[in-house]
Amino acid sequence: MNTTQLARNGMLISGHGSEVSDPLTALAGKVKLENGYSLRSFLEMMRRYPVFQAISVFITPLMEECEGCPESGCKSDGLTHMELVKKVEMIGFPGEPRFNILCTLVGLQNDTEQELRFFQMDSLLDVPIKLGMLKHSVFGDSVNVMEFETDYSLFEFIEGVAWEFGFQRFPEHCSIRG
Amino acid sequence: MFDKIMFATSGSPVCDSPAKIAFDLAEREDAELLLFHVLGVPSRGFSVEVTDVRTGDKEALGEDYEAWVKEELTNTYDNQLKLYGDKTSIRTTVGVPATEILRLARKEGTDMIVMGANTRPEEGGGRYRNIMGNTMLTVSKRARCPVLIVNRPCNTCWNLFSNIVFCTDFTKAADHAFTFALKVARDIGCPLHIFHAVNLHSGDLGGKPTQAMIEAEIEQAKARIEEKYLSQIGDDFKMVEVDVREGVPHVEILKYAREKEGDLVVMAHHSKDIPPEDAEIGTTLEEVVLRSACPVASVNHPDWIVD
Repeated sequence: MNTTQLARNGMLISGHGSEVSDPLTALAGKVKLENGYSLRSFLEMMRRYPVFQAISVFITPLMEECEGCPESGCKSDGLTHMELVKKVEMIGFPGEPRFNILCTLVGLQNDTEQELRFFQMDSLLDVPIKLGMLKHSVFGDSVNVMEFETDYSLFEFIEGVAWEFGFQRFPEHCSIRG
Repeated sequence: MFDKIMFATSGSPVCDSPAKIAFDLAEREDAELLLFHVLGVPSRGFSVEVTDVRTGDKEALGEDYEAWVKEELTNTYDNQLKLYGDKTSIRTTVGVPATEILRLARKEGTDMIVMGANTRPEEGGGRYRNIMGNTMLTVSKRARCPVLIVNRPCNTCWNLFSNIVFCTDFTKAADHAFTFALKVARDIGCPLHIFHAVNLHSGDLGGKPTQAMIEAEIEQAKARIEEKYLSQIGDDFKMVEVDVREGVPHVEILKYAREKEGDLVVMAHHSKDIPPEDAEIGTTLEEVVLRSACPVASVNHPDWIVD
Protein backbone atom coordinates (compact mmCIF):
# COMPACT_ATOMS: atom_id res chain seq x y z
CA MET A 1 0.00 0.00 0.00
CA ASN A 2 1.27 3.49 -0.77
CA THR A 3 2.42 5.37 2.27
CA THR A 4 1.87 9.10 2.57
CA GLN A 5 4.02 11.08 4.93
CA LEU A 6 2.28 13.84 6.84
CA ALA A 7 4.77 16.66 7.12
CA ARG A 8 4.96 19.08 10.01
CA ASN A 9 4.01 21.95 7.72
CA GLY A 10 0.75 20.18 6.82
CA MET A 11 1.89 18.95 3.43
CA LEU A 12 1.13 15.43 2.18
CA ILE A 13 4.28 13.84 0.79
CA SER A 14 4.00 10.85 -1.51
CA GLY A 15 6.36 7.86 -1.56
CA HIS A 16 8.33 9.63 -4.32
CA GLY A 17 9.08 12.56 -2.08
CA SER A 18 6.83 15.06 -3.85
CA GLU A 19 3.59 16.65 -2.69
CA VAL A 20 0.50 14.54 -3.32
CA SER A 21 -1.33 16.15 -6.24
CA ASP A 22 -4.85 15.01 -5.42
CA PRO A 23 -5.33 14.79 -1.63
CA LEU A 24 -8.44 12.62 -1.85
CA THR A 25 -6.46 9.81 -3.44
CA ALA A 26 -4.37 9.57 -0.27
CA LEU A 27 -7.32 9.05 2.07
CA ALA A 28 -7.38 5.25 1.90
CA GLY A 29 -3.62 4.83 1.93
CA LYS A 30 -1.56 4.38 5.06
CA VAL A 31 0.21 7.26 6.72
CA LYS A 32 3.38 7.93 8.65
CA LEU A 33 4.05 11.09 10.59
CA GLU A 34 7.12 13.27 10.32
CA ASN A 35 8.98 13.62 13.59
CA GLY A 36 7.49 16.44 15.61
CA TYR A 37 4.11 16.24 13.88
CA SER A 38 1.57 17.99 16.10
CA LEU A 39 -2.00 19.18 16.20
CA ARG A 40 -0.76 22.42 14.66
CA SER A 41 0.47 20.37 11.69
CA PHE A 42 -2.96 18.75 11.48
CA LEU A 43 -4.62 22.16 11.31
CA GLU A 44 -2.11 23.27 8.67
CA MET A 45 -3.08 20.19 6.66
CA MET A 46 -6.76 21.18 6.94
CA ARG A 47 -5.96 24.67 5.67
CA ARG A 48 -3.82 23.39 2.83
CA TYR A 49 -6.39 20.80 1.74
CA PRO A 50 -9.80 22.30 2.66
CA VAL A 51 -11.58 19.35 1.07
CA PHE A 52 -10.64 17.34 4.18
CA GLN A 53 -12.70 19.65 6.37
CA ALA A 54 -15.84 17.93 5.16
CA ILE A 55 -14.75 14.62 6.72
CA SER A 56 -15.95 15.72 10.14
CA VAL A 57 -18.29 18.50 11.23
CA PHE A 58 -15.96 19.14 14.14
CA ILE A 59 -12.94 20.24 12.11
CA THR A 60 -14.17 23.76 11.36
CA PRO A 61 -15.07 24.54 15.01
CA LEU A 62 -11.68 23.13 16.04
CA MET A 63 -9.90 25.43 13.58
CA GLU A 64 -11.92 28.40 14.82
CA GLU A 65 -11.11 27.55 18.43
CA CYS A 66 -7.39 27.36 17.70
CA GLU A 67 -7.24 30.70 15.89
CA GLY A 68 -6.74 32.57 19.16
CA CYS A 69 -3.85 30.39 20.35
CA PRO A 70 -0.23 31.55 20.41
CA GLU A 71 1.86 30.72 17.32
CA SER A 72 4.29 28.54 19.23
CA GLY A 73 4.99 27.03 22.62
CA CYS A 74 1.56 25.48 23.07
CA LYS A 75 2.69 22.59 25.23
CA SER A 76 2.00 21.29 28.69
CA ASP A 77 4.18 19.71 31.35
CA GLY A 78 1.41 17.18 31.83
CA LEU A 79 1.82 15.64 28.37
CA THR A 80 4.83 14.20 26.60
CA HIS A 81 2.88 13.27 23.48
CA MET A 82 -0.47 12.26 22.07
CA GLU A 83 -1.03 8.92 20.45
CA LEU A 84 -3.59 7.76 17.94
CA VAL A 85 -4.74 4.27 18.89
CA LYS A 86 -7.03 1.88 17.10
CA LYS A 87 -9.38 0.22 19.54
CA VAL A 88 -11.21 -3.01 18.96
CA GLU A 89 -13.84 -3.56 21.62
CA MET A 90 -16.05 -6.53 22.20
CA ILE A 91 -19.03 -5.50 24.28
CA GLY A 92 -21.54 -7.82 25.88
CA PHE A 93 -23.91 -7.51 28.79
CA PRO A 94 -26.20 -5.65 29.05
CA GLY A 95 -27.57 -5.78 25.53
CA GLU A 96 -26.63 -7.63 22.41
CA PRO A 97 -22.98 -8.58 21.82
CA ARG A 98 -21.27 -5.96 19.73
CA PHE A 99 -17.91 -5.42 18.10
CA ASN A 100 -16.61 -1.86 17.72
CA ILE A 101 -13.54 -0.68 15.85
CA LEU A 102 -12.57 2.94 16.29
CA CYS A 103 -9.62 5.30 16.27
CA THR A 104 -9.09 7.72 19.08
CA LEU A 105 -6.42 10.11 20.23
CA VAL A 106 -5.12 9.72 23.78
CA GLY A 107 -2.83 11.93 25.80
CA LEU A 108 0.25 10.41 27.44
CA GLN A 109 2.82 11.48 29.94
CA ASN A 110 5.50 8.94 29.17
CA ASP A 111 3.47 5.73 29.61
CA THR A 112 0.67 7.10 31.72
CA GLU A 113 -2.57 7.94 29.97
CA GLN A 114 -3.91 11.43 30.58
CA GLU A 115 -7.41 12.61 29.78
CA LEU A 116 -7.19 15.16 26.98
CA ARG A 117 -10.47 16.71 28.03
CA PHE A 118 -8.70 18.47 30.90
CA PHE A 119 -6.26 20.32 28.61
CA GLN A 120 -7.04 23.52 26.74
CA MET A 121 -5.97 24.02 23.12
CA ASP A 122 -3.17 26.42 24.02
CA SER A 123 -1.47 23.57 25.85
CA LEU A 124 -2.00 20.98 23.12
CA LEU A 125 -1.20 22.48 19.74
CA ASP A 126 2.55 21.78 19.79
CA VAL A 127 2.48 18.46 21.64
CA PRO A 128 3.87 15.76 19.30
CA ILE A 129 1.46 13.19 17.89
CA LYS A 130 2.49 9.57 17.30
CA LEU A 131 0.77 6.57 15.79
CA GLY A 132 0.17 3.89 18.42
CA MET A 133 -0.74 0.21 18.59
CA LEU A 134 -4.06 -1.48 18.06
CA LYS A 135 -5.64 -2.29 21.42
CA HIS A 136 -8.10 -5.13 21.73
CA SER A 137 -10.30 -5.31 24.81
CA VAL A 138 -12.94 -7.92 25.49
CA PHE A 139 -16.11 -7.22 27.48
CA GLY A 140 -14.73 -4.12 29.11
CA ASP A 141 -11.69 -5.93 30.54
CA SER A 142 -9.25 -3.06 30.84
CA VAL A 143 -6.53 -5.15 32.54
CA ASN A 144 -5.85 -7.73 29.85
CA VAL A 145 -5.84 -5.49 26.80
CA MET A 146 -3.99 -7.10 23.89
CA GLU A 147 -1.80 -4.88 21.73
CA PHE A 148 -0.85 -5.36 18.08
CA GLU A 149 1.16 -3.50 15.46
CA THR A 150 -1.12 -1.84 12.93
CA ASP A 151 -1.35 0.73 10.14
CA TYR A 152 -3.56 3.80 9.96
CA SER A 153 -5.15 5.24 6.86
CA LEU A 154 -5.28 8.98 6.36
CA PHE A 155 -9.05 8.88 6.76
CA GLU A 156 -8.76 7.09 10.12
CA PHE A 157 -6.18 9.61 11.24
CA ILE A 158 -8.28 12.65 10.34
CA GLU A 159 -11.51 11.21 11.70
CA GLY A 160 -9.89 10.00 14.94
CA VAL A 161 -8.26 13.34 15.71
CA ALA A 162 -11.39 15.31 14.77
CA TRP A 163 -13.62 13.14 16.96
CA GLU A 164 -11.42 13.59 19.98
CA PHE A 165 -11.54 17.35 19.61
CA GLY A 166 -15.25 17.46 18.80
CA PHE A 167 -16.41 19.17 21.98
CA GLN A 168 -15.01 16.39 24.15
CA ARG A 169 -12.98 18.71 26.33
CA PHE A 170 -14.10 20.78 29.27
CA PRO A 171 -14.64 24.39 28.29
CA GLU A 172 -12.21 26.90 29.69
CA HIS A 173 -14.82 28.55 31.88
CA CYS A 174 -15.58 25.19 33.53
CA SER A 175 -11.97 24.57 34.42
CA ILE A 176 -11.66 28.03 35.89
CA ARG A 177 -14.77 27.66 37.98
CA GLY A 178 -14.07 24.05 38.92
CA MET B 1 -39.54 25.21 41.69
CA PHE B 2 -38.55 21.60 42.35
CA ASP B 3 -40.04 20.05 45.47
CA LYS B 4 -39.22 16.45 44.76
CA ILE B 5 -36.32 15.24 42.66
CA MET B 6 -35.50 11.69 41.73
CA PHE B 7 -31.93 10.60 41.17
CA ALA B 8 -32.05 7.24 39.42
CA THR B 9 -28.73 5.47 39.78
CA SER B 10 -27.12 2.17 38.95
CA GLY B 11 -24.52 2.90 41.60
CA SER B 12 -21.74 2.66 39.02
CA PRO B 13 -19.02 5.32 38.56
CA VAL B 14 -20.78 6.77 35.51
CA CYS B 15 -23.51 7.93 37.90
CA ASP B 16 -21.07 10.04 39.94
CA SER B 17 -21.59 13.12 37.80
CA PRO B 18 -25.39 12.93 37.85
CA ALA B 19 -25.16 12.37 41.63
CA LYS B 20 -23.27 15.62 42.06
CA ILE B 21 -25.87 17.52 40.07
CA ALA B 22 -28.82 15.81 41.76
CA PHE B 23 -27.59 16.54 45.28
CA ASP B 24 -26.59 20.11 44.42
CA LEU B 25 -29.92 20.79 42.81
CA ALA B 26 -31.90 19.29 45.67
CA GLU B 27 -29.90 21.27 48.21
CA ARG B 28 -30.34 24.49 46.31
CA GLU B 29 -34.05 23.97 45.90
CA ASP B 30 -34.46 22.55 49.41
CA ALA B 31 -36.19 19.66 47.69
CA GLU B 32 -36.82 16.11 48.78
CA LEU B 33 -34.40 13.78 47.00
CA LEU B 34 -35.31 10.22 46.13
CA LEU B 35 -32.18 8.20 45.52
CA PHE B 36 -33.55 5.29 43.56
CA HIS B 37 -31.90 2.05 42.54
CA VAL B 38 -33.44 -0.94 40.83
CA LEU B 39 -31.97 -4.10 42.29
CA GLY B 40 -32.38 -6.25 39.24
CA VAL B 41 -34.73 -8.01 36.93
CA PRO B 42 -36.54 -11.07 38.31
CA SER B 43 -36.02 -14.10 36.14
CA ARG B 44 -39.69 -15.12 36.53
CA GLY B 45 -42.82 -13.60 37.99
CA PHE B 46 -42.13 -14.67 41.57
CA SER B 47 -38.50 -15.65 41.32
CA VAL B 48 -36.25 -15.49 44.35
CA GLU B 49 -33.34 -14.51 42.11
CA VAL B 50 -32.65 -11.28 40.27
CA THR B 51 -30.20 -10.44 37.52
CA ASP B 52 -28.18 -7.55 38.88
CA VAL B 53 -28.54 -4.62 36.46
CA ARG B 54 -24.94 -3.59 36.92
CA THR B 55 -22.99 -6.83 36.95
CA GLY B 56 -25.33 -9.21 35.14
CA ASP B 57 -24.85 -11.77 37.92
CA LYS B 58 -27.70 -13.74 39.45
CA GLU B 59 -28.33 -12.66 43.02
CA ALA B 60 -30.57 -14.26 45.64
CA LEU B 61 -33.21 -11.72 46.47
CA GLY B 62 -33.99 -11.13 50.09
CA GLU B 63 -33.75 -8.67 52.93
CA ASP B 64 -30.03 -9.33 53.29
CA TYR B 65 -29.30 -8.55 49.67
CA GLU B 66 -31.45 -5.41 49.73
CA ALA B 67 -29.79 -4.22 52.93
CA TRP B 68 -26.37 -4.88 51.40
CA VAL B 69 -27.22 -2.87 48.27
CA LYS B 70 -28.54 0.02 50.36
CA GLU B 71 -25.35 -0.02 52.39
CA GLU B 72 -23.31 0.00 49.18
CA LEU B 73 -25.28 3.00 47.92
CA THR B 74 -24.84 4.78 51.25
CA ASN B 75 -21.09 4.21 51.03
CA THR B 76 -20.97 5.33 47.39
CA TYR B 77 -22.76 8.61 48.11
CA ASP B 78 -21.37 9.01 51.60
CA ASN B 79 -20.05 12.54 51.12
CA GLN B 80 -23.28 13.85 49.64
CA LEU B 81 -25.45 12.09 52.20
CA LYS B 82 -23.46 13.64 55.04
CA LEU B 83 -24.45 17.04 53.71
CA TYR B 84 -27.95 16.34 52.50
CA GLY B 85 -28.96 13.04 54.08
CA ASP B 86 -31.86 14.47 56.07
CA LYS B 87 -33.96 15.13 53.01
CA THR B 88 -32.74 12.14 51.03
CA SER B 89 -34.42 8.76 51.05
CA ILE B 90 -32.85 5.69 49.49
CA ARG B 91 -35.37 3.52 47.70
CA THR B 92 -34.81 0.19 46.02
CA THR B 93 -37.07 -2.19 44.19
CA VAL B 94 -37.01 -5.16 41.84
CA GLY B 95 -37.98 -4.94 38.21
CA VAL B 96 -37.09 -3.50 34.83
CA PRO B 97 -35.23 -0.25 35.62
CA ALA B 98 -37.05 2.08 33.21
CA THR B 99 -40.50 0.81 34.25
CA GLU B 100 -39.73 1.12 37.93
CA ILE B 101 -38.24 4.60 37.57
CA LEU B 102 -41.32 5.80 35.72
CA ARG B 103 -43.63 4.06 38.20
CA LEU B 104 -42.01 5.71 41.21
CA ALA B 105 -41.77 9.09 39.48
CA ARG B 106 -45.49 9.04 38.76
CA LYS B 107 -46.44 7.73 42.19
CA GLU B 108 -44.36 10.33 44.00
CA GLY B 109 -45.08 13.16 41.57
CA THR B 110 -41.43 14.04 41.08
CA ASP B 111 -40.61 17.36 39.45
CA MET B 112 -37.47 16.15 37.78
CA ILE B 113 -35.56 12.95 37.14
CA VAL B 114 -31.77 13.14 37.10
CA MET B 115 -29.91 10.35 35.32
CA GLY B 116 -26.67 9.51 33.58
CA ALA B 117 -26.84 8.91 29.85
CA ASN B 118 -25.56 5.37 29.95
CA THR B 119 -24.55 2.71 32.45
CA ARG B 120 -21.57 1.69 30.37
CA PRO B 121 -18.48 3.84 30.33
CA GLU B 122 -17.01 2.35 27.12
CA GLU B 123 -16.01 4.91 24.59
CA GLY B 124 -17.23 2.85 21.66
CA GLY B 125 -20.79 3.34 22.76
CA GLY B 126 -20.51 7.04 22.20
CA ARG B 127 -18.88 6.72 18.84
CA TYR B 128 -21.45 4.34 17.50
CA ARG B 129 -24.55 6.14 18.60
CA ASN B 130 -25.30 3.98 21.61
CA ILE B 131 -24.59 6.70 24.08
CA MET B 132 -28.14 6.77 25.34
CA GLY B 133 -28.79 3.59 27.26
CA ASN B 134 -32.12 1.82 26.88
CA THR B 135 -33.22 2.91 30.34
CA MET B 136 -32.52 6.54 29.57
CA LEU B 137 -34.28 6.32 26.21
CA THR B 138 -37.43 4.86 27.75
CA VAL B 139 -37.49 7.19 30.72
CA SER B 140 -36.95 10.34 28.67
CA LYS B 141 -39.67 9.24 26.26
CA ARG B 142 -42.33 8.44 28.84
CA ALA B 143 -41.57 10.61 31.89
CA ARG B 144 -44.16 13.27 32.65
CA CYS B 145 -41.57 15.55 34.19
CA PRO B 146 -38.36 16.85 32.60
CA VAL B 147 -35.39 14.50 32.58
CA LEU B 148 -31.95 15.93 33.29
CA ILE B 149 -29.32 13.93 31.42
CA VAL B 150 -25.82 14.29 32.79
CA ASN B 151 -23.09 12.81 30.67
CA ARG B 152 -20.00 14.65 31.86
CA PRO B 153 -18.50 15.50 35.20
CA CYS B 154 -19.77 18.93 36.16
CA ASN B 155 -18.51 20.76 39.20
CA THR B 156 -20.42 23.93 39.22
CA CYS B 157 -23.36 24.11 36.89
CA TRP B 158 -26.32 23.98 39.24
CA ASN B 159 -24.60 26.00 41.90
CA LEU B 160 -23.75 28.99 39.79
CA PHE B 161 -26.79 29.19 37.57
CA SER B 162 -25.33 31.67 35.23
CA ASN B 163 -26.74 30.80 31.83
CA ILE B 164 -29.50 28.64 30.40
CA VAL B 165 -29.49 27.81 26.70
CA PHE B 166 -32.81 26.88 25.15
CA CYS B 167 -32.63 25.39 21.67
CA THR B 168 -35.69 25.36 19.47
CA ASP B 169 -36.80 23.93 16.18
CA PHE B 170 -40.25 25.56 16.57
CA THR B 171 -42.13 22.32 17.10
CA LYS B 172 -44.83 21.83 19.70
CA ALA B 173 -42.40 19.80 21.80
CA ALA B 174 -39.98 22.73 21.73
CA ASP B 175 -42.76 25.00 23.04
CA HIS B 176 -43.02 22.87 26.19
CA ALA B 177 -39.26 22.91 26.53
CA PHE B 178 -39.35 26.71 26.30
CA THR B 179 -41.94 26.96 29.07
CA PHE B 180 -39.66 24.86 31.26
CA ALA B 181 -36.53 26.86 30.37
CA LEU B 182 -38.29 30.14 31.10
CA LYS B 183 -39.58 28.83 34.43
CA VAL B 184 -36.11 27.78 35.49
CA ALA B 185 -34.52 31.03 34.32
CA ARG B 186 -37.12 33.10 36.16
CA ASP B 187 -36.82 30.95 39.26
CA ILE B 188 -33.08 31.23 39.55
CA GLY B 189 -32.80 34.69 37.98
CA CYS B 190 -30.30 33.94 35.27
CA PRO B 191 -30.09 34.84 31.58
CA LEU B 192 -32.00 32.74 29.08
CA HIS B 193 -30.44 32.31 25.66
CA ILE B 194 -32.91 31.33 22.96
CA PHE B 195 -31.16 29.67 20.07
CA HIS B 196 -32.09 28.23 16.70
CA ALA B 197 -29.78 26.69 14.12
CA VAL B 198 -30.80 26.79 10.48
CA ASN B 199 -29.91 23.34 9.23
CA LEU B 200 -27.88 23.72 6.05
CA HIS B 201 -27.47 19.99 5.64
CA SER B 202 -31.07 18.84 5.85
CA GLY B 203 -31.89 19.74 2.26
CA ASP B 204 -34.85 21.85 3.39
CA LEU B 205 -33.32 24.92 1.78
CA GLY B 206 -32.55 23.13 -1.45
CA GLY B 207 -29.37 21.35 -2.47
CA LYS B 208 -26.94 24.19 -2.02
CA PRO B 209 -28.57 27.26 -0.50
CA THR B 210 -27.36 30.70 -1.52
CA GLN B 211 -26.28 33.29 1.03
CA ALA B 212 -29.50 35.22 0.35
CA MET B 213 -31.59 32.13 1.09
CA ILE B 214 -29.72 31.50 4.33
CA GLU B 215 -30.10 35.10 5.46
CA ALA B 216 -33.81 35.03 4.65
CA GLU B 217 -34.17 31.84 6.67
CA ILE B 218 -32.35 33.42 9.61
CA GLU B 219 -34.60 36.48 9.53
CA GLN B 220 -37.65 34.27 9.37
CA ALA B 221 -36.44 32.24 12.36
CA LYS B 222 -35.85 35.44 14.36
CA ALA B 223 -39.39 36.56 13.57
CA ARG B 224 -40.76 33.21 14.72
CA ILE B 225 -38.82 33.42 17.98
CA GLU B 226 -40.24 36.89 18.52
CA GLU B 227 -43.76 35.70 17.85
CA LYS B 228 -43.61 32.35 19.64
CA TYR B 229 -41.42 32.99 22.63
CA LEU B 230 -40.57 36.61 23.28
CA SER B 231 -44.24 37.52 23.22
CA GLN B 232 -44.77 35.19 26.21
CA ILE B 233 -42.05 36.60 28.38
CA GLY B 234 -43.43 39.96 29.47
CA ASP B 235 -41.64 42.99 30.81
CA ASP B 236 -40.70 41.56 34.18
CA PHE B 237 -37.97 39.33 32.78
CA LYS B 238 -35.32 41.16 30.79
CA MET B 239 -32.47 38.67 30.68
CA VAL B 240 -33.23 37.16 27.31
CA GLU B 241 -30.93 36.89 24.35
CA VAL B 242 -31.84 35.55 20.92
CA ASP B 243 -29.48 34.07 18.38
CA VAL B 244 -29.95 32.26 15.09
CA ARG B 245 -27.07 30.68 13.21
CA GLU B 246 -26.65 28.40 10.26
CA GLY B 247 -24.82 25.08 10.10
CA VAL B 248 -25.15 21.60 11.52
CA PRO B 249 -27.63 21.99 14.42
CA HIS B 250 -25.84 19.97 17.09
CA VAL B 251 -22.49 21.55 16.27
CA GLU B 252 -23.96 25.05 16.39
CA ILE B 253 -25.75 24.30 19.66
CA LEU B 254 -22.55 23.03 21.26
CA LYS B 255 -20.59 26.02 19.98
CA TYR B 256 -23.24 28.41 21.22
CA ALA B 257 -23.47 26.76 24.65
CA ARG B 258 -19.70 26.95 24.98
CA GLU B 259 -19.62 30.57 23.86
CA LYS B 260 -22.35 31.59 26.31
CA GLU B 261 -20.84 29.51 29.09
CA GLY B 262 -24.10 27.62 29.38
CA ASP B 263 -24.82 25.72 32.58
CA LEU B 264 -27.89 23.98 31.30
CA VAL B 265 -29.10 23.18 27.80
CA VAL B 266 -32.85 22.72 27.47
CA MET B 267 -34.19 20.87 24.45
CA ALA B 268 -37.30 19.04 23.39
CA HIS B 269 -37.07 15.26 23.52
CA HIS B 270 -37.94 15.04 19.83
CA SER B 271 -38.73 17.34 16.98
CA LYS B 272 -41.49 15.69 15.01
CA ASP B 273 -45.02 16.83 15.78
CA ILE B 274 -46.30 13.45 16.90
CA PRO B 275 -47.69 12.26 20.25
CA PRO B 276 -44.95 12.12 22.89
CA GLU B 277 -45.69 8.43 23.53
CA ASP B 278 -44.71 7.58 19.96
CA ALA B 279 -41.71 9.83 19.59
CA GLU B 280 -38.18 8.49 19.57
CA ILE B 281 -35.44 10.69 20.94
CA GLY B 282 -34.23 13.29 18.45
CA THR B 283 -30.84 12.79 16.87
CA THR B 284 -29.82 16.38 17.63
CA LEU B 285 -30.59 15.91 21.32
CA GLU B 286 -28.63 12.67 21.32
CA GLU B 287 -25.60 14.31 19.70
CA VAL B 288 -25.76 17.24 22.10
CA VAL B 289 -26.00 14.93 25.14
CA LEU B 290 -22.96 13.02 23.95
CA ARG B 291 -20.76 16.09 23.79
CA SER B 292 -22.28 18.73 26.03
CA ALA B 293 -20.08 19.87 28.87
CA CYS B 294 -23.15 20.83 30.89
CA PRO B 295 -26.31 18.87 31.74
CA VAL B 296 -29.05 18.64 29.13
CA ALA B 297 -32.71 18.76 30.13
CA SER B 298 -34.97 16.74 27.88
CA VAL B 299 -38.61 17.81 27.95
CA ASN B 300 -41.23 15.59 26.41
CA HIS B 301 -44.65 15.78 28.07
CA PRO B 302 -46.32 19.10 28.79
CA ASP B 303 -48.10 17.87 31.96
CA TRP B 304 -45.63 18.95 34.60
CA ILE B 305 -44.72 22.12 32.71
CA VAL B 306 -48.32 23.27 32.44
CA ASP B 307 -48.99 22.53 36.13
